[in-house]
Amino acid sequence: MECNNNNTCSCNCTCKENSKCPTREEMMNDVRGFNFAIVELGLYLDTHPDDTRALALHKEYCKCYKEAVERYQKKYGPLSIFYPCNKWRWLEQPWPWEGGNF
Amino acid sequence: MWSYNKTLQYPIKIKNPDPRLAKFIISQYGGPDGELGASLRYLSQRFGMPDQKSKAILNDVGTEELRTP
Amino acid sequence: MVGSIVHQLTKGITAEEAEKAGLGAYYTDHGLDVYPQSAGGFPFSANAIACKGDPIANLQEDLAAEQKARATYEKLIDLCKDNPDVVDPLRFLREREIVHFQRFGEALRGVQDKLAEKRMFAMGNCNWNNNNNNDCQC
Repeated sequence: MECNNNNTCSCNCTCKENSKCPTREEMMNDVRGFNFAIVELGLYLDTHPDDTRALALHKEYCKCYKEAVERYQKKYGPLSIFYPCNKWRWLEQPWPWEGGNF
Repeated sequence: MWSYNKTLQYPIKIKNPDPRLAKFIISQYGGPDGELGASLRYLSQRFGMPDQKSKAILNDVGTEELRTP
Repeated sequence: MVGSIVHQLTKGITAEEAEKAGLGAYYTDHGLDVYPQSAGGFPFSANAIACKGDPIANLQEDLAAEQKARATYEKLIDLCKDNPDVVDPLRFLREREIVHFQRFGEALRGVQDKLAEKRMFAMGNCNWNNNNNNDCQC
């Protein structure tokens, strides 16, 4: 898994024609994938804290995760309530158990 | 501290409801070997662990299991 | 995740459909809410939260629990094999149990080492580093 693969979008997504613009599903897959990698590495590091390679991966994925979340939230609204918006966008999308944020 | 992220760990998109399967699967929610019991067990056991690694594992696996009920 | 699966599997079903699926009693008590219970209908029991106050016993319990959860997922995957939308997340969850089992095993070995170390200290206050002094005052 790479951080800035073709799902990068630094244009705030006003460019609907741009084929490089990732879909919502692709952006969510990034968020979910990096989150999973961090959780998995976290458990591994709990019992192998001296593994420098795992530690480096963890560092990289944390950075990627932060960027992926930021990207997603900018376009589709908050993934947690710790993301301020000018209106209360927390209510906008269906919930994950209803198939929202797939 | 609990805080919610508006995502699932793995996407769930079931096209056709099938209550027959729900009757079985609910066991992994609140059954004897289910995710709810597992998460609460690990988060309760962590207080009595003697070293940092086991405290961390129980805390972190418990947290992950809490995402899954 | 499991709650989401149950929710989506029962979404919008009628009372008749619930009854036909063997969920008549469940529907009576809980409607289409997701209620923590076993497949056999027993409500969630705090017995599942086995805490013995002993790190070795607790971690052994956890190792077994992860294997039991893995086994349950395998049975569920068999029962749901015609529905890939359900099998997919179940396979993911099954794999997580295996990883947790692995990590608990490593944690257990750490705890055993730690406790063994403690026992060494309990042998006495000998000054092992002092090679010149042979009459240990244990």
